[in-house]
Order: sequence, then C-alpha cells, then structure tokens
Amino acid sequence: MNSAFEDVLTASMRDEVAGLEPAPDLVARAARRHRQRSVRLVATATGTAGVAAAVAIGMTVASVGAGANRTSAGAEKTGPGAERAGASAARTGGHAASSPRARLVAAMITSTRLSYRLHLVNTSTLAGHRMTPTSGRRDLINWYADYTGVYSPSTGTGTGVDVVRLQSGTLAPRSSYGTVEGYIQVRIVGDRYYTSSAGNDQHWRSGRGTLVQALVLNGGRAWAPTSGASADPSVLLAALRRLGSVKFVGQTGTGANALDTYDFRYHIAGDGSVKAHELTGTIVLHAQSDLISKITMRTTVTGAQPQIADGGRTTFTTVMTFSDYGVPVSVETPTGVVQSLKPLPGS
Amino acid sequence: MRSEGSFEGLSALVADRGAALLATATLLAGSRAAGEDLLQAALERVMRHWHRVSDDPEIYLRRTIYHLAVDQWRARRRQPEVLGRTGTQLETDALHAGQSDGTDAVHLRMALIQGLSQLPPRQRAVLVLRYWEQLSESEAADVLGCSVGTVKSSASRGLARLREVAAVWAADDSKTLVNGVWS
Repeated sequence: MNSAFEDVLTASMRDEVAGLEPAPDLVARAARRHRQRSVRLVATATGTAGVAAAVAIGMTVASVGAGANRTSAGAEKTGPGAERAGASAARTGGHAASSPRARLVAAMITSTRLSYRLHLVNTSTLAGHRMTPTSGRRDLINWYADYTGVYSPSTGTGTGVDVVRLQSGTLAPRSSYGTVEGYIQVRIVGDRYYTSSAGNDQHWRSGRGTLVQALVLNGGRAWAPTSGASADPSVLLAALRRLGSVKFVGQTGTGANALDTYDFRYHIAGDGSVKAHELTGTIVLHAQSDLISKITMRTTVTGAQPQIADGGRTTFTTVMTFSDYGVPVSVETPTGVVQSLKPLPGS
Repeated sequence: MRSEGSFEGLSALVADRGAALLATATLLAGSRAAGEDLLQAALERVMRHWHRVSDDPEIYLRRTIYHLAVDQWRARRRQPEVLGRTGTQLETDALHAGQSDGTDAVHLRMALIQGLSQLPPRQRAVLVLRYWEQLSESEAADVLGCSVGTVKSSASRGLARLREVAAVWAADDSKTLVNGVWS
C-alpha cells in the first residue's frame, strides 16, 4: 500500500504527462534514421571489400589493354599505365581508395548493394529542334520520361511511376505541351520490365530490357543504344569496365555537402539501326559516404531507320538522381493479362 | 518472421499506445522533447532487432525504453533540459513553491518532478516503474534486468531524496500531509 507521499508522487507524474501525444511522424523519423544507420553500416562494411574489388577491377580494366585505349581517346588511359596503377594499389592496400578511379568504382559497387529511390528524367530531341509550345508542327521523334521509383539492385526489383506529358509536334492546341497526360506504373523484376496504365492493374505489357528501354518502348519509340541507362548502376559500371574511361573533375561543397564529380565516356558500336557513337556523362558522388548522388548521360545517335532517329541526329539525355539509400523495396510480379512485347533492337 | 523494413506493427502500436509510451519516456528523460528523443531511439533499437521481436512489441519497446534510459543515456551523460539546476537550486525552487497562493499542490508536484529528473537514471527508472507503471518490485526488477534488492534500494534512495525536496517545501510554511493532502 502506498504512503500519502507516494500517492502525491504518482499524482505529480500524472499531471506532468497529461495530454502528451507523440508527433505523427515519430515512427517515420525512427525508420528513416534506422535506414540511414543501416546505410552507414553497409557502406562501412563494404568499404574494405570495395577497395579490394576496385583493385581487382582496376586490374581487369588494365588487362583490356590496347582495346580500351582505342575506344577512349582523350580520356584517362588504360593499358600498361593502368596496370601499374592497379598493381601499385594492390601493394598499398587501403590507400587504393584514395585513387579517384578506385573510389568511383568502389562507390558504384557499394551503391549497387543498396536499395535506393531513383528519379529519372529522360528526353530526346532532334537536332535544331526546341520542344516548346511554339515549335513547328512536324512528326517528331521525341519523348519525355519523368520516372520516380525505388529499386533494389541486390534483388533486381523495382517499382515506380512514370509521368506522361504531352509533347510538341502532335498537339492541338499547342498550349497543351508539357501538361500531364497520364501515369504509367512500372515494375522491374529481374531482367524483365512490366508497364501498365495507372489504375489498370489487370493489363500489363512486359518485355526484356532496362528501365529506360521500358519507358521508351511504352512510349512507342525504340531506342537501344544506351545499355548503361538502367536503373541499376551496375549496368553502367559494366559498360565502364568494358569500354569506358573515367576522369576526376573535382570536388564542390564542404563537409556533409561535399560532392565529387567524375566525367566518363564509352564507345558504343554501330549496328543495323544506328551508327557507332559515343556516350558521355557525369557521375556525382557524396564525398563522405561515397554513394552515388547523380548520374547524367548524353549521347547523339544517327541512324538510317526513321523509327530510330528519323534519318537525322537525335540527342538522348538521361538524368538519374539517387536518394533514400536503404529504402525498403517490395515488388510483386504482375498477374492478370500480361502482353509480351518484342525485344528491342540491339537489346 | 517479420520482414526487415516493414514496421507496420510498430506504426499501429504507436498510434494506439503512443501517448502512454511517450508519457513513460518523458518521465524517464525529464522533458517532453527529451522523452520523444528517447522514444524515437527506442523505436530505432526495436527496428534494428525487428526480426527477433516475436512477442508483444509493446513489451519489447517498453523494456528498450527503460534500458536506454538507464544505460545508454547515463553513458552519454545526457541531461534533460530541466536538469540544469543544482540540488541547492532545487530546494530553493521548493521553498518558493511553498507560497500560499492557492497553487501549493501544483508547485509541490512540479518540485517533485524536477527532483525526479535529478535522480540517477536507475533510481528514476525504478520510481517510474513503481509509481507510474504501478508495477511490483519483482516486476520492476524483471523489466530492468536487475535483482529485487536493487529495486528496493534504488526506490528507497530515490524516495528519500524526493522526501527531502518535499520536506524543504513543507517546512517553509509548516505544512503537514494529511490523507495525501498538504495542509
């Protein structure tokens, strides 16, 4: 039985906390910090492995030798010099991470082990054409994708929504240019993509290809040249390892806001639809965490087939912004009616 | 097994029992802001081990709140905002609280809550478990993972300190406690 004093103490406690309610976003805040902590742990855990992998990749690239030199004119050379650098990195152990190229490769590897939120904007424009409401009316080969979703490289699954906007050239009235026409659901399961108009979960179109290819194909246009334009940085990494070159540009910002920028380029062989061309781009890393912040890719293709490039030059630009590393990703393979699409040229 | 990254159970728990959980955390931490920090830290800890939480999540979360309050917060030497006062200042507050303006009881309770937040973490946790949660000594010992003897000694020391605060307050105006009411 409590004493009178203990009763007063109990009443004091009751008064002190009367009417308290937790903030509505308390669990969300905790979950966010939990994910951030998980990311830090994974980044720390993979840091050492990343260095070793970077050294191994550096040697692999070096072994490509002259072939790589031929396809990366004007950029960082691979070949014997790179081989020496790889061997040197292997000897110096952890110091290999201080090499910009090694850091970039390690960051790409780390980023491919974490899930993330991806915002992808993709545009194509014909040479000399500006997509504005006052543009001339013509049968343009252009499209615009504005995709936001989550993706887990480790499971190869992702899901998101692409905003469909009306474009110039086929509009009446022209003032409707850029307005939202609709939304497309997109799911990535392994090497297959599934797309469906929002609100219609029972009818899907499915094909084999990257996220960008999924968005392009859904828009009725075929575009195969940039195999690196995937939701998964590992695809780009594979392209860079095979053909590409990397150059450290510099650092901007300080502390937690410091960003490291790298330029890269790689050569893409021609095929029956497009001529050989080069893809250039920029990768921005968070300097502290070594996680990818943004990838920008740009290429101009020329093809003989009208459905590819209208016989002229078409410039494709892809901007991928990464955030929310460690975000949970849960994707189910669509059920219902699934219409298989023909493979894209070159895919 | 629960899937990592899916905390729907926790969201439902906080929606249903959040007020009570925050009340406990606030009493342990000394202020509403510090209490919410403590509750959030406990939620993060539970999320980290979510795949292992097979029993009632509230029991696990409550244990975590107490353990963090006693161990982690002590280790950090983190002091709630209201703990900037010294023992002497606290007694001075209690003296001022004794003014006969019709709010004596409120002032005494405030002094006791301040005194509670001045206690060492384990003593504070024991008093919250015993007099807020209304747990028995053995139940409190089970939550804190210590012996019943430790609970008894911690409660005794904590109450003694709070009685000192109340005595200073009561002596100023020659008040006496009759049937739980100061007069």
